[in-house]
Amino acid sequence: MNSCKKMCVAVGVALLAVTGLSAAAEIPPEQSLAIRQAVVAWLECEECTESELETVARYGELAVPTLGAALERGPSPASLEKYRLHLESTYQKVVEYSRTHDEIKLEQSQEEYVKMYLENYQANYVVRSAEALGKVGGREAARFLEAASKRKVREDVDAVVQEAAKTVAK
Amino acid sequence: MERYIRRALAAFAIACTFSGLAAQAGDIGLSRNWKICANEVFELPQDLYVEWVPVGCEVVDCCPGCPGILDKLSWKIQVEGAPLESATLKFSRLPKDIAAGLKFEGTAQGSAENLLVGKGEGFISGLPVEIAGRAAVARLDVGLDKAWIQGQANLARAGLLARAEGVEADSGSITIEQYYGKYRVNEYKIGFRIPRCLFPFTDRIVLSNNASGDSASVLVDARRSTGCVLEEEHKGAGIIGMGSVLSNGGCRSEVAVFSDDDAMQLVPGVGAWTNFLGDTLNINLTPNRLMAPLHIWLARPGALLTAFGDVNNANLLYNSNNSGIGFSPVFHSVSANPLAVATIGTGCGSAPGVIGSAFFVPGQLNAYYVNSAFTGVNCGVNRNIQYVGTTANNQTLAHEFGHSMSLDHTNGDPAFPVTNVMIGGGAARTHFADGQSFRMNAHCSSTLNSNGVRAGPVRRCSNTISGNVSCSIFTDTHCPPLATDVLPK
Repeated sequence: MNSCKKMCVAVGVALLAVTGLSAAAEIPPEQSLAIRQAVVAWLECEECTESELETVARYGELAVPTLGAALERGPSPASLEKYRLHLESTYQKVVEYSRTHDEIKLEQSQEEYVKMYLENYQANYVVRSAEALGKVGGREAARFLEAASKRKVREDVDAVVQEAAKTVAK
Repeated sequence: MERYIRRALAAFAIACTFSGLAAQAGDIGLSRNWKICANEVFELPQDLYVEWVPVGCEVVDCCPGCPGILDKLSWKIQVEGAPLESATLKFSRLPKDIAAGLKFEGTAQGSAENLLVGKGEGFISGLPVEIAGRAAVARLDVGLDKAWIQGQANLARAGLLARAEGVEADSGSITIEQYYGKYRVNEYKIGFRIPRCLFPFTDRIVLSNNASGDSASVLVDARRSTGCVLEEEHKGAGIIGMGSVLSNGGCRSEVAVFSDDDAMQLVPGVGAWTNFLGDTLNINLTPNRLMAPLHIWLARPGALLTAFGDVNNANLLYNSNNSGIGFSPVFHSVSANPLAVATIGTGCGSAPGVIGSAFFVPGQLNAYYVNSAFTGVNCGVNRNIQYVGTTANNQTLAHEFGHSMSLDHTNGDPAFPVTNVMIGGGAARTHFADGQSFRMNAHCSSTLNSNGVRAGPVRRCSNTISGNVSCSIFTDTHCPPLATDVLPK
C-alpha cells in the first residue's frame, strides 16, 4: 500500500511537471529556437538594418524572459567564452603581424585588450536588451527595466536603460 | 525532497533529454569554413585546423520558454563528408565529477579528455548547463579519412590529381548541436572544402614580386577545351600550373590576383594564351598594398586604445584575406573641443554638418569615435564617414570600411559563413571572400576608387551599395560572384 502510494505520488509529480509546464510558459522547441535566434540577432547586430528589433517585438511577451535575463546578466558564459577565444586569437595574430607591419600600434597587453572588448560586448547586451524590452512593453518588461535602472552600470549604458525604463509602456 | 519524487523528476528529465533530438539542423549556418587544397592534406598542419567549442547555452536563460528543472546538456555531433573520418574532442575546465559521469552513444567513444566521434552521429549526455567561472570548452580536432587520403595519393602518383574541369571540391562538415532536453540551445558547424588545386605545369601563370611570398588567389576567365570558363580558382605563390588554356576565341580572357601585402592585380584582355602548350602569362604584383589614408577623430575621452585596437584588427583582416588594402591612420584628439564634439554629434544625422567642417578631411576615410551606446555605422550621405560607438566590437570598424568600399551585408546568404566580416552582426568575424575583395578594389563607387587611392580598370558590380559617385552605365559589369572563394586563407 505504502509503495503504491509512493508510486502514485511519483507519477503524479511527473504528470504535474509535464502539464504544469505546458500550462505555464513552456514554448514548443521550434518556436523557442526561433525566438532565441531572433533575440540573438538583435543583441549582436551591427547596424541592425534587417528589422532585427521588429522581429523580436513581434514575439512580444514570449521574448521578455530572455531579454530580461540578458539585461540582468549579459551574454551567456558560452557566448562570452566564444568571444574571449576570438579576442585572444586576434591579439596573438596582431602581435605576429606587427613584426612585419609598421602601422600596428600595440599599446595594450592581451589581458587589457580582451577586457576592453569583453566589457563592450557585455555593455552592448544590456543596451540592446533594454531597448527591446522598452519596445515590447508590458508589466514584466517594465519590471525588468525598473530593476535594471537601479543597478550601477557605466554611464553610456545607464543612459539607455534609464530612457527605456522611463518610456516603456506598462 | 523525498527520494521517489526526485526519481520521478529525474525520469522526466531523462525523458525530456532523449525525446526530442530530432529537431531540424539544416538551419545551422557555418561557424567556420576551412579550405584545404588536396595537395596539402598529405601533411595537414593539424594545429591550424583546431576549433574550440564552448559548452553551454547561447543565451543566458538557455532557451525561451523551456522547462527549468534540468541541469544537464546533451550534445549531438555529426561528422559528414567523404574527406572526414572522425572528430576528436578534448574537454577542459569540466569539473572532475561531471567529466567522469559523461555518457557517450552512437559513434562517440572514449572519455572527456579524449573523445573520438566517428563518421555519423555521436551523442554525449551529462554536460553542465553552467559551471562556476569561465565556461568549459571542447577542443575539436578533425581526422581525415585515411582511405580518402590514400585515394588522393594514388591519384597524385598516377598524375591524375589535377582538377578536371567542372569537378566539384570534396567537402565535409562537423556539426555540434547542444540540447537542453528537447530544446536546441546552441550550435556550431565547421565546413571543410577540399578543392583539387593542382594543375599540371603546361600553360602557366608566373607571379613576380609577391611581397609576402604567400599563396595568392588567382581568378581566371579563359577558354578551355570545354568552352569558356569564368572565375576559375587557382592558388600559388610563384609559378601556377594552368593545364591547357586555349586562345581566347570568343571568350573573355582576364585574370585577377589577390595576395597578402600586394595590391589586387586585374589584368583584362589577356593575350598570352594560344592553342599550344607552354604559354606563360607573367603578372607583376607591384605595387604593394594600397594604403587608404584614414582620419580617426576621437570625440570621446579615452577612446584612443579602442581606436588602436580597431585599426590594428582592420589592417590584419584586410591584409590576411588578400584584399590588398590597408589603412594609414592619423589620430585627432578632439574630445576636449566642445565645437568639435557638437559638430561631430553621435551619428549619421550629424554627417551633413561634419562635411565642410574642420573635422572632416574630404576624399579620405574619416572615423568618428563618439560617446553614445551603439556599435558602428557607415553613412550613406558620404561613404567616407563612419561613426563608432561605445559598444563596438573589434571588427566593427573593419565592417564599416567594407560598406565604405561598396559592400553590402551578407546576412541570409547561405554561401557565407557567419565569420564573414560583412555579416551584419556577430562578434567573431574574420574573413572576406575574393568576390568581396574584387568589389572593394574594382567597383566604380568604392571609396578606394572615388578617393583616388587606386587607379586601374573599374567595374559596375552587382551586390553592392550606393557610393559617393555614380557609376557610368557604360562601365563593364563583369565581376566574379560575391561569394567567390569565401575563405581565401
